[in-house]
Amino acid sequence: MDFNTILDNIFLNNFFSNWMPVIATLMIMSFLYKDNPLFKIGENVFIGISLGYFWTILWDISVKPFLIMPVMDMFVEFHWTDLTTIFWFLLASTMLFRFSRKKAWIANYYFGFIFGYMAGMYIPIQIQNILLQSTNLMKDINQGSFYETSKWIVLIFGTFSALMYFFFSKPHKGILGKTARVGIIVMMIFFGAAFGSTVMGRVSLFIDRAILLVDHPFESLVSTLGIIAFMIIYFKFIYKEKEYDDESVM
Amino acid sequence: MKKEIPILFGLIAAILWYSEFFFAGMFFDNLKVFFASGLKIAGVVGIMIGVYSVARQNYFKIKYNNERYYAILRVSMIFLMIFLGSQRGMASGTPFSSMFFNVYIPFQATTFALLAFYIASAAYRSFKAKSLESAVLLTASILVMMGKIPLGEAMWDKIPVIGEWIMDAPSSAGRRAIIFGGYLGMITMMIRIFFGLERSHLSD
Repeated sequence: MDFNTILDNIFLNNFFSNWMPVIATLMIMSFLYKDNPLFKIGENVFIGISLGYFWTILWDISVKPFLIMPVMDMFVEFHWTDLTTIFWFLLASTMLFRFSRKKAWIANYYFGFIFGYMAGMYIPIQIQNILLQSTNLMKDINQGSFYETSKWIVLIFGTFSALMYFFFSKPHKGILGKTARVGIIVMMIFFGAAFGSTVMGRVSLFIDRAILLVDHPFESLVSTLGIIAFMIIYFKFIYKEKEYDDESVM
Repeated sequence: MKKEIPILFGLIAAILWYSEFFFAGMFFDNLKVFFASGLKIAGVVGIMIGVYSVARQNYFKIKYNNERYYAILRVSMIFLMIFLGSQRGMASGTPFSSMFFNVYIPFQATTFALLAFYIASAAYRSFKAKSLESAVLLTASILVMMGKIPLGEAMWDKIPVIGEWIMDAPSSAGRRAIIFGGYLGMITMMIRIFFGLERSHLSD
């Protein structure tokens, strides 16, 4: 049996795909009681796997085609346009000096250049975005039905009044004050709706996790009992409450 | 020297890119390619610096026994993923993708699902209709939530319609106003950087 087959047997079997999601879910859920080593293990495995996953993907889609391949081609046949690669590589490498305490200013060359470039790029783009948003607002007021028309009226006047709330060149009194007050209400509705959507998103994620546990009853039962047993033993016999003196609390 | 030359660098880059927006010709086309390819290389160097930073942090954690075993576990997982990706590839049906779907996805989904409990408990404690604004916020969130679940429709068939109307009209208006503010703030910041008035991104 070669090494690749062994790897496939470990990671591509039913035991792994049935038990691992259940254990991972319950390890993280154990935090609902208290911070504990199982949660920390899960947390660190999650961080490690996500870093490893994205680095491996980035190596393939970014590092190899944009740095390794051009440098290898440079050794085969050097072209004067390759100087741009060398220039950018050297300029971007000055970022490394951010780790030094005394020479951190060298990184300013990169940041100064890149921020200037971003400034040149974003000013026209943002102006275009504002114009695009504004033109999208300007539509025929008659949208066919009362429901659709009311949406447009509220959208136009709501946006205007919410913008007026951020207009600080004049005291918020009289008509400006009243418009700004409507603006606050509009923004409160936005915050409420955003909160509601976020809660629903999180709850649907939780339902998805619960369905996973229901779909694997045996694995869930065994893992839950194991985690509960571990937590009883840990908090009863091993865990010690941290004692803070006044200075450390400060 | 430490700030003036980098600011001058930035000004030149900004003028070059800005002029590319108004003028046409081979020089400006090449300039576009120069910046576009340069950003990709800068991104690669950024990734390398990120890798270095993580390696450095974990090295110090392991060396000075600051949660040493968790750091070892974290680094082992990074190496495991890199090893699996390089050994067996990253396509679907490989150990690498199996780790992603069977370990990464459950961890990520549960971490975010956990927030449902904390959001709910925070809302229970802080959501009180003490003023008109807070009452509006509370009502909007309840209507949006009720509009998305079958219970809301079962209570009154117009609740989903109201929820949709809130999302499309006043909520959209508030979002647009905030986006407008963001754009205006960004333009102001970029103009400040353009003229060298903003220097907070440069270190001493």
